[in-house]
Amino acid sequence: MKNYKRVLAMLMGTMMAVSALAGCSGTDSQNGSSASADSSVTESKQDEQTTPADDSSGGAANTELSGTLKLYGPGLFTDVGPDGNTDIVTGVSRPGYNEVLERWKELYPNVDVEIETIPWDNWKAACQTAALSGDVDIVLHGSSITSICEPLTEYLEQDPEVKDAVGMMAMRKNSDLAPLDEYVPYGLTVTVNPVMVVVDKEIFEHYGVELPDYENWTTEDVLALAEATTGTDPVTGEQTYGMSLIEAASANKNYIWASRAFNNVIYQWGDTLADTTVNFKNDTTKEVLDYINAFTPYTSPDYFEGLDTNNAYTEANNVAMIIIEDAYNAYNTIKAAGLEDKYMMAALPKIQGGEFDGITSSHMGDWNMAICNASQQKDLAWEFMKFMVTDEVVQQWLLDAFSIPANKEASGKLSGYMPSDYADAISYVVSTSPLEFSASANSCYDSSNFGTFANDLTTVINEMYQGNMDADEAMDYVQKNLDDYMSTLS
Amino acid sequence: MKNKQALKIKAKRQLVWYSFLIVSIVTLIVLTYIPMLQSVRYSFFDIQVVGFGEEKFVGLQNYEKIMNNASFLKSIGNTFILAFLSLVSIPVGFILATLINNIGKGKWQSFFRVGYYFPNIITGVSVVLIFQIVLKANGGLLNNALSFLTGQDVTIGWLSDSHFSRFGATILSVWGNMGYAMLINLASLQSIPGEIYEAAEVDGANGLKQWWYITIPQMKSCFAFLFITSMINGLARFTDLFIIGGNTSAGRPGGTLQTIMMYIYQFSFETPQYGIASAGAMILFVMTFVITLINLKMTGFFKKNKL
Amino acid sequence: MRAKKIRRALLIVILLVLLVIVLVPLAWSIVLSFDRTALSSLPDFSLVPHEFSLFNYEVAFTSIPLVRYYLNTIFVTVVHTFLAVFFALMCGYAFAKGDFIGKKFWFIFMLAVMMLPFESRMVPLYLQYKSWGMLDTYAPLLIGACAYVYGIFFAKQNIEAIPDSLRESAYIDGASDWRIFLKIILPLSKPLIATLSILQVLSNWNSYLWPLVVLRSSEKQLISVGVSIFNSQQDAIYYGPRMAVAVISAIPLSLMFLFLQKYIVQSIAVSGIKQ
Repeated sequence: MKNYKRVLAMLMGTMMAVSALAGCSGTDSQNGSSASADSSVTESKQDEQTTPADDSSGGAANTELSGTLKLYGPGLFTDVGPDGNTDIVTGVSRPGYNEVLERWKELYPNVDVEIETIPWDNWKAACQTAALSGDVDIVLHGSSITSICEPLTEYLEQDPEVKDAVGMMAMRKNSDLAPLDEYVPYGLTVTVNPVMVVVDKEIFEHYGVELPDYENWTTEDVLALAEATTGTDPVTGEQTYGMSLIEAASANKNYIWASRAFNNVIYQWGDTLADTTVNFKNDTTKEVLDYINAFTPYTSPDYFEGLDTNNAYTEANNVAMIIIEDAYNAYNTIKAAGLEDKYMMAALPKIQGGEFDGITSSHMGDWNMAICNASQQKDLAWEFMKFMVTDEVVQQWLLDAFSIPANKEASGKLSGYMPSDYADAISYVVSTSPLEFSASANSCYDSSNFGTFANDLTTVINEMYQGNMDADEAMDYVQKNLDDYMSTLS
Repeated sequence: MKNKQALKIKAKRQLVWYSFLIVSIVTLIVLTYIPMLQSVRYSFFDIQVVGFGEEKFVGLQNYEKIMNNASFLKSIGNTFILAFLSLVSIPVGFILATLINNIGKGKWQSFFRVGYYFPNIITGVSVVLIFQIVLKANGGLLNNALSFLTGQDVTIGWLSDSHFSRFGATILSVWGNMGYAMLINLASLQSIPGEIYEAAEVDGANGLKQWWYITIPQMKSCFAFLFITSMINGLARFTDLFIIGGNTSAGRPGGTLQTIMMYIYQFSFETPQYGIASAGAMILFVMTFVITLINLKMTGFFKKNKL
Repeated sequence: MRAKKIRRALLIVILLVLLVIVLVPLAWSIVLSFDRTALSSLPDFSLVPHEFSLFNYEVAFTSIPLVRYYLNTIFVTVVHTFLAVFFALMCGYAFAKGDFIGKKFWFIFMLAVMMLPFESRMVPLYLQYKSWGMLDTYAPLLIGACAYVYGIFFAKQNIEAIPDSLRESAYIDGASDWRIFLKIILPLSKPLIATLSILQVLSNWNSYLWPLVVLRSSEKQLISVGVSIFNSQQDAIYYGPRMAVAVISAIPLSLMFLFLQKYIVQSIAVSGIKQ
């Protein structure tokens, strides 16, 4: 009997606790958002704060701007956390983002910045939903979701020095704002990730193969070297493999560089996307797909499960060339293992023909910031983004956090951080990569405007690797989905 | 006068019963039905990301597009194939339950009950991670075991070759669900009245005959229940396949593991076309609803419960 | 008699062997979580760690506020389960024993959305909570518990099996339906409560996307999101620490199951499944 009274009491208690909790935090979040939503409150705050500041004017601090900026998204801030983190294997520590915020506070004492970090898993879904709350000013890595972002064209015209300072911007296409063969900047790139080839010099030496001259090698050279370094190592007697492409789960990324190297232009841009024609099915595409697939005999059977590079950057490494997207991490791992002399980095082969003839086909990934178009304080958001790519303290912080800054001056300092065997190749890619170019929306490959194109490419490249498709079937598959998608545009 | 009084009492009784339901009904209306109506609405609009950009009424176009889309049709096929394959957990669970039941009640029985149910508890990313290694083509545990048994070198890419991926994914789901199937089968087995068997023994029926003529018929509704719940779960399968595909909804390898849910997710968030995603969700909803109705019919809901 | 005994022993052996096979992947994960060598490359399969150490656990505890996430998750799960099971029993009772207008309609009304995919109503739902000012609170994670459809179905089947005679005699004593529910039905439904609780805990413990989306402050986050943050903080897939985190987050579930398992079997046995 008593028991059930107790149960009932507990239930009541819980219910009350829950409702109290919901109530309390409800007001909490209202307080939080009032800064941005209720402009009259912000103004009055601003008055209070600027008056005393005017008396003590002096120093570089900007006290005119005030408010609370909210940043939301995945990437570097998540990786390092507020107080920094230490990688458990390499043992290298990276400083936390509080350092950035401290610097910001020095410059803009009246602007609070709140960073909400999320992991990469399901990040697109999370960012889109968070943007709906109207409580996000900057979407970290947001430029891929153009519909929630503000184009930056006007801001860049206002502050032309920003464009000069960076070596890359997050470009997309939007027929409403610019012809489709041109780019619209949607995000300010903070750090870049050039796609690099890690070369095991020892394996090359064992086979008596000359190291690549990465500023001049061609796609054929890469294939030939992969072939030459596959087999039984003449010195160690171990099985080695010539190549580890970008992991199978993102096989589309191999298509990005290969299609660029072959200058396989597939888009004929019209006035709008609907008028654009996509000729994916053509002879060059076939060449590209066959080229990627030609590496199959020179890759480890563990490649497909992403396990072939488990021993990379150790003494037991058995892959001569590894294509990677996170050059700095790779270098750190190598350095921590004390193997700096064993490896070098190279750029991907040069582009043959077309607009970019002769430069490397290595593209760059990035980590960018974009202004959420639901934000009430876009100018303030721009101010912060500008700060992220131009402020010297921040650039130093980025380098210390083992990132390659998009800021050209800062990325030039890379040679102070790693030996020339690594820094030179990275700098080569960073400096040759055209500013007006986007790896995710260009004339050979566009993953942002053509539906499931990227996923479909991954699918067919994997299928070819498994021997379940040939290049013709692969092209039919992708072209069919493209046509399907294009028919939905009207 | 009396009539009124009786009516009042009746009305009061009604209110009492409704007081049990009201919270859940309101919750469902507010948190499920209203958002669902929103989705229904979106499914008639050309809309990319909800809340951003223009919304354009397009009538049934989204449905037309999606029904003509090869990937969507393929994802429906995949979903049903995977759901049917995962039904293997039912016979597996039944066999286990029979064996466990035969050792009689006691410590051993509860030990096995717990042991076999364990995989059901441990789910999530880490399990998939482990299975990616257990099932990998080159030197994975399963392939090693098969190589040992067959004396030949087996290198099947259980999760990486599109010819086998559905089986690999099924191994994963059977591993996770057979404990549940076993538990339910066991409970049903143990609730078959012992007298039936005794009577059969008197009639001289042997073990196999008993099993065929008594056990199986008695288990019919248990199988039906498991069949329906597995099917419904299968239709909504998403998370593990999403992880196998390298955190994309493409259904890697070769699109063979792209389920309807993954298709919907892809168009909701990865290549945002919310209108199309909503149309997909509505189609999925109708399919699950039909299956639920069949379920109710099979369990005799409409006849027996004179609701 | 002896033949029977041998047969039983043989059965036990077969079941043991099968069980070992089934549990191998699980055992391996646990072993890996204690293995110092399980980092970016996976050590060869073995049933004892190559180099035993608690290193992975230290890493897990020091790199993210695991305890905090843990407590948050326990709070949310407990409240959620409590609400879900209680309201499911209430509805189950009404549907099993009640006699009121529209019973069939409401039952279908509830079952109809049993499997409506959450992802497809996530965005509208989010907008609703936003308009109520409930974002970044636990409310969006908890309120939904008040309609646990599968639980209602299950509870109805179970409560139907409780003989009417108990209720009738209580009626004669003048007890109201609420009184009957609280004093007769609830106490008789322990196995049912246990089963629904564990099903609830199982399905909530690992939920990821919704908490990720509605909770904005990192100190409120749940363990599933914490695990994901942990994974993205490392430069590569480090198997050992990952497994350690997985093991830690699975412990409460396992304990709960061990304690409740005998009720679960009972409640499944009385539910509608065997009719």
